[in-house]
Amino acid sequence: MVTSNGDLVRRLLDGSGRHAGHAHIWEGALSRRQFVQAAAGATAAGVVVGSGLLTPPDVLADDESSTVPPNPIPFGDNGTHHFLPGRGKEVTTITDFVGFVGVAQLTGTGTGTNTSTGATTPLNWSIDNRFIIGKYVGVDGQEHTGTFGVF
Amino acid sequence: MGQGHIHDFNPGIAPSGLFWTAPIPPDSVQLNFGQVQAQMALQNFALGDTIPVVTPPTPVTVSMVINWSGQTAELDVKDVVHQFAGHYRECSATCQWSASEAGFSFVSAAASTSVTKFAELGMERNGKFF
Repeated sequence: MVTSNGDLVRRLLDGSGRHAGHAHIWEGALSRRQFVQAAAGATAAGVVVGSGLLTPPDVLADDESSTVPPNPIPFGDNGTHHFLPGRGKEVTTITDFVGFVGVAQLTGTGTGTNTSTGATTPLNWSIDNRFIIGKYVGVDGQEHTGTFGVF
Repeated sequence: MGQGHIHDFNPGIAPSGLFWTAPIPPDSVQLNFGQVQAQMALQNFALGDTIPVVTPPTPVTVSMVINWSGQTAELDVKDVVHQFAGHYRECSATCQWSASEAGFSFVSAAASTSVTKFAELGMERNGKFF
């Protein structure tokens, strides 16, 4: 069964759905047209919600302006409008929101290059990167859908 | 971990307080919540390097592929204090990325070498949708 965007939003809104860069480096060690185009070309994995199949562009359908800025969440860690990653912590940074989120807090290594001299340096990195896909109330007071990254 | 924090790539904090958040192309995220799999892929995405501190931040372009997979835990949250609720599936993630700015470039090691501190996918609602 293919679940429509409306079904998804209703499930999220009423709670009836059961499943209802930022990059640091350390030294040392949609519009409808876009929806149609994306849907037509989408062959990769979609969004599975329960028995329904959605792609992110499905979630973003029916919106002519997904770039209206959202408002920040009213709470956060360390005086910010942002919670650090962790179990039970809010992932999204935007308020009046309903949709999907993902967060990846990772560390790793890599190589930095001074592009003027060509000198390379081994470096460590850490990221707290997120995606936010869904419906939100923008600064204009109107409902929109959009896709955001947190870096 | 190291001797110093020498670069910090982010989209800045908006006057509203919106924190490190920027619109990205809708097709940059692929999500299969049921299978606990997702990918966020960006090419030459414009951010600012805020270290060293300069105004405005140094322009930098970042490319990245982050993959989420492998559920390790699942939980529901309803936080009446912070007015949000969600269903979350904790998992692992990997990232391979690169960055380029005037005078400096960076290439991470292979995605398989990245270490997950915390990762999850979720369905979340807050504010008027709480």
